[in-house]
Amino acid sequence: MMKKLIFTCLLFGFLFAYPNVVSADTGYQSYESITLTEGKLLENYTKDEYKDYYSHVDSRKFLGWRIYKVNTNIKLSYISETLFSYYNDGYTPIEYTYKLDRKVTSKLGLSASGTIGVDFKNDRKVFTFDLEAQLKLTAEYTVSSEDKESIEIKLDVDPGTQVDLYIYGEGKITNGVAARYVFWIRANRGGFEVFIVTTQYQRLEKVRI
Amino acid sequence: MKSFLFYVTVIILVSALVIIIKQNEVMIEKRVLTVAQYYSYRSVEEGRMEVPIYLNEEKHPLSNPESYLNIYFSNLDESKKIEMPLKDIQYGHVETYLNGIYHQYLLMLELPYLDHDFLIEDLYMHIELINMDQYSFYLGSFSLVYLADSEDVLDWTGLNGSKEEHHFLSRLKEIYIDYETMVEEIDRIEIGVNMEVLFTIQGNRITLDIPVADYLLNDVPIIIYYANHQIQIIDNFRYLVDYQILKESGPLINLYALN
Repeated sequence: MMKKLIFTCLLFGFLFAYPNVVSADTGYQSYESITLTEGKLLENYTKDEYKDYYSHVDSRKFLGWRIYKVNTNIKLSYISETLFSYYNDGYTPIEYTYKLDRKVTSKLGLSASGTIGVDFKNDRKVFTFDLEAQLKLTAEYTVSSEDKESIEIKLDVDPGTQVDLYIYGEGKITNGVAARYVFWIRANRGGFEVFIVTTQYQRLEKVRI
Repeated sequence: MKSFLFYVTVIILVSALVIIIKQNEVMIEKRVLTVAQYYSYRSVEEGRMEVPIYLNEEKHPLSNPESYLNIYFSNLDESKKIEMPLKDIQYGHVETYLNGIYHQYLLMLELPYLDHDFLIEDLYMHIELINMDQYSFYLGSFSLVYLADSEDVLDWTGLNGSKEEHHFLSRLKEIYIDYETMVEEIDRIEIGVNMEVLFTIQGNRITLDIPVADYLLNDVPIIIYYANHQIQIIDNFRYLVDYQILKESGPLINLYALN
């Protein structure tokens, strides 16, 4: 009887502990530059730092996450991608209208390493296994599944002129490491990072080519 | 008889429990917030104005364009009045304010095309819903600039802005206009009707210094008056998008109870 019980526990343990597929970055990691006032981004953690930080989450527990936040609400500035670029190669000015409706907001970015994953649920980026709820982030990190973006710009573009729209701004970042346990067996372990935009600036440039 | 008494007692106890729970249930008052803003536009055909409102209830009729019967804008004594058809309502983002969760909705309105300047210094939005509910909300200030022809005197190459350093209020402090060559002397610059701003020119960049005022400001046209009487307008441009407006706006917030 005892053997059967141990076997069943182990079987369930392995099922739950099977590592999740790693799916790492979202949006913000492709930004041209991110400058933090202090601390560093998850992608810049060294092996030694991981080793040190993991020691804070390695003590086993029956069920759930152990979390160690390395950087909390660190202010940052960023330069994003070129949102649009248009060149008028004709001979007359063109009244150009740029309209963008993004279904998903770029306000929130999530990133993970190791066996912590990032998934999409109801058009919203989430960490797998409900890590986000356990992080107890402040309300400013809240993003609704309905959040979307709409940008509309109308302008006259002269012949031989290129128009570019750039995005840059300010935000906050929280990152660290976490480990999830099921029946004292470590199921997932890795780094997590949450990036939130507080202010987004837009810059319009006209270049005669 | 005993089982009958048992069932009656259980029913009475459960009913009493339900009544007690209902009485102690915290009723969340339906509210809408508006934040005073300087709405400044150039009068163009098919112009669009975007008015954000913040609701603490997602399914309130104010979030549904089908619920609107009539909408118009005026000053306090309604001596100035203007109608703008509601074209759509878009969901913005979530914010928290005084321990409440508020959903930002953007009312997309069609600006009228006027062949003269129009100014409402104290702007109110009046809404009549199909359920006959009526609301009036203070929005800030409204300016519509008319200019028949804009002359491309300044060959501007870059346009962006910034808030005041270390201040988080969603209000532009400076606008930067980069240019290649300046052939005419600038007399003055405005960002709305009678809204002149100071400016400095240094190293192919004009910096507009926007004075402090009790309004949010993120999207304005720039009207440049030259010494030779030519006029150039740089159309409306959304310089910044903020995601923490309520947290930083304090006294600019107006709170209204809803039906």
